[in-house]
Amino acid sequence: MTKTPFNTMIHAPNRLQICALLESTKELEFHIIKEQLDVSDSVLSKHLKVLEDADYIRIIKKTEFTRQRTWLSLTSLGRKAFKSHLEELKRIVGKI
Amino acid sequence: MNNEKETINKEEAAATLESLASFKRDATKSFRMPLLLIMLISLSYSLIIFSYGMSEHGNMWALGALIGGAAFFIFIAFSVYTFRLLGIKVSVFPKGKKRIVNELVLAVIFGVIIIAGREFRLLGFEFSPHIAALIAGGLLAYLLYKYPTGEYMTMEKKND
Repeated sequence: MTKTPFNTMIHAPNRLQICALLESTKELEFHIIKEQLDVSDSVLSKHLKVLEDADYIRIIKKTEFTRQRTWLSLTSLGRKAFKSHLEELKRIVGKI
Repeated sequence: MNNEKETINKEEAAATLESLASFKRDATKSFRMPLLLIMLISLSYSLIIFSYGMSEHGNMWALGALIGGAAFFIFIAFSVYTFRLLGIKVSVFPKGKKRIVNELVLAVIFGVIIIAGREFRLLGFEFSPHIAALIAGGLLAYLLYKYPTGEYMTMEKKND
């Protein structure tokens, strides 16, 4: 089995949780992730910026019913990186 | 971000996987749709299977299947729309090989149940549509309750 690299970009607990949430859905709104992670807007924005800069997530701002909504989704690169990182963690533990 | 470690030891990796699994379990619970909606979706699905099993040229059960089908799609559309308003867009089409395989296996299981329900009745087992509807409705309710995001593989148990 080829060794996948340990991804420090994703490994930070909050970023790992953001990816885990986004992996199971098509898109999530900013406030849902904020509630799940129990962090402030600024902390979440900082983590999202890191993931967005790495092209792991896509951030789309839309106005729906006169309300500004921020939708987040994993890119295919992000999905792949998250999956690889989980595999690497499992490999370290000795599960695979 | 430059002070992040390049790798971790076995214990840290195990703790990370465990905390991530626990986080995902809790998050999945909050994505669960209301029990009433789960019941309505399952009942309308059961009605489709039961009506299909009972339908013949001379009876009205085909109408039951049509009503069940319409109700099923209305409830599904309602749940998708409600989730969207709440800030969750669910994946309609599975992503990843494992998810696709799981969805296909489930499609085969539900297909076998619906066909068996009708065929066994035609062979003379009168209550097969009742049993098929009960199994399919129960299974669907269980899946909607236990795996609201449709991820059947990631919900690993604590000691896996």
